[in-house]
Amino acid sequence: MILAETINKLIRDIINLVLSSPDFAIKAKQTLPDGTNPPRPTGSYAAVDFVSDTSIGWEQQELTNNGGDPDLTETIKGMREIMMSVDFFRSSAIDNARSVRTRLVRESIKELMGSAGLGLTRRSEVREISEALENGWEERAQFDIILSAVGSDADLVRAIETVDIQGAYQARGLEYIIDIEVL
Amino acid sequence: MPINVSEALDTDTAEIVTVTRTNGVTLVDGLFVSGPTSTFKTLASVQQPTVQQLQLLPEGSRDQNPRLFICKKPMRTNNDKDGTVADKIRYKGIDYLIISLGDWSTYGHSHAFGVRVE
Repeated sequence: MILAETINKLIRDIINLVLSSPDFAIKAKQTLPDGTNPPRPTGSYAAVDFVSDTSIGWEQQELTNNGGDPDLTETIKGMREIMMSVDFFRSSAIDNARSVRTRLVRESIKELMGSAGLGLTRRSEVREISEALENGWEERAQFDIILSAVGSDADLVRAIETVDIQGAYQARGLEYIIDIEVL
Repeated sequence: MPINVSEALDTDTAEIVTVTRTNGVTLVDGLFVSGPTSTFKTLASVQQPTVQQLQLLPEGSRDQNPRLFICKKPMRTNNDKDGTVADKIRYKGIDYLIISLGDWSTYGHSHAFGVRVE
């Protein structure tokens, strides 16, 4: 199971860590409990968005014995490619984006991702997307982070303990009844 | 001393509406958490915005049943510089979220444009 909020929080924590700025990164597209939009944070900030989760190839299915229990455990595992978008706003947005993009390859950060079962596959270049607002330019920058992960699922396959086969064979006016029970 | 034109707002020209105010938001682990809310009643002259006033609102808001509330008390809208959260005005059983404000506090009133909250 891939948990979007868990991965979003991990990326937010990594951004806060590499920029040494607590609460710098927020989750994108939030609404308050009453459905209204909150005001933007004061000062510079980053917003992390979970863009897509794509399966790569076919899932691998494994069936394992459960000791004396005739039922089998089915484990399904599949490669997933997850794209996260990180937007930076206001003062030093481009510098902050470039810094975070570079610092993602630190060993400590890769270890942190690895402990969460994620691998850094690639990053896009930093794009400058500064916007002209009513009261002047607002500096903005964005880049994508592509992560790899293993999505998993498990199920219990019930064993077929008995099979009853019934049939009839007819030849030259005779009929033979077949009744086989497999245990 | 400017004339306080809010004296024109009385029960003959205005109605009593209920305002719900959220007192700020805080960020916890990058997630917004609403502050405490309070409610109060105020006199408001509730009007349909004129065509010119509608054109000043964001395009997407123009078909959200907008109303102009001319209130005796100052209203709030989302403002990231002050960290304020938009007020909600309950009028005839419908909630309106304040999306635009005109500050006429010198003359004792505020102009607040609200759109219907679904």
